[in-house]
Amino acid sequence: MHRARMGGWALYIATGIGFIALALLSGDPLWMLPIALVAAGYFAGLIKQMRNAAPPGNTSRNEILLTMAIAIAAASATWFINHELGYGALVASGLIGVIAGVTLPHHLAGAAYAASFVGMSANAVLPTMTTAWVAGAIAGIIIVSTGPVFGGIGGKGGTAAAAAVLITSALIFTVGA
Amino acid sequence: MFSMELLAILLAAVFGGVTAHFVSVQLQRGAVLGSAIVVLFSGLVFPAIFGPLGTQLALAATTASYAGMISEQKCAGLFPMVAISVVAGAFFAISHSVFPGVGGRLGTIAAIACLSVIGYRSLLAQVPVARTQQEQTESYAGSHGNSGD
Repeated sequence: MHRARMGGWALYIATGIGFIALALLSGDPLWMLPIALVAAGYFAGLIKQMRNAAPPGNTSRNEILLTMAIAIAAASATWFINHELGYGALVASGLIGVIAGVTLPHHLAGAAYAASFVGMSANAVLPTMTTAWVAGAIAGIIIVSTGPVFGGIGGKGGTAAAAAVLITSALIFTVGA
Repeated sequence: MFSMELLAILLAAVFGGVTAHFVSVQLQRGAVLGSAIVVLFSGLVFPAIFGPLGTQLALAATTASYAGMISEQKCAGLFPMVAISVVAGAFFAISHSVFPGVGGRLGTIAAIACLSVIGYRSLLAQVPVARTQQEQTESYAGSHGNSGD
């Protein structure tokens, strides 16, 4: 579990750093200095969070399986509302978030909402419901494995979802190739 | 570099972030519900009112609403939340070509904005402490020197 946790943290940090690096490389040169300033603050914030992290608690096997199941369900439901029903990514994720926030306990609602971000992906990125399931399952693994380290930080679930979607895209590319 | 569109995006971001944080912390409805209400509202209302720009405004408000899920312990007060929302909105506006179509892209921007503001706040918080320690050292050195005299 310790290795999985370290892997989850590494994935989380790599996604954020990768995003900033790509923004620096592909953005308007005029924005380079503001992006660099944001990046400096980001690293300072990361260090502070890693230092002040709460000790990881023990998560039971049932809890992990339940989180995974909810993540898969939320990701595929969002993908279905987004693409099959055609309501768009924001309405789909917002709807799943409201339902999860009203009906589920706090930590499971967070997992469901984070996984719903997976279903916001474009058709070109996650072309089928099966790929949404896979990405939802990977998102569930990342959410469980990162534990409380980045808890209470806005966007934690989104970063986990982005990492899961990128991994799934790489899998699709590999299998497709 | 700056335009009315960017200003509108920043205003939408401040609306999204502050509203989500208010519902989450002040109304104690939880971070998920706080953000999801803003996302649903923005997704339905902004494109209907503002057309193509409305979609961008809705996305900016959504990005900041994810940042608004930050806990009260890590972000207490209106000003830090406005700062986080502005950073999130600006980063959204300038990083449109990064991770296109990837779900979680907006959340990643929100996390970067939150950690950036937390980082700068922690750095700023250390400045008075460092100064006080320096003053204490100087005071100690002075008193130690006087006692020697």
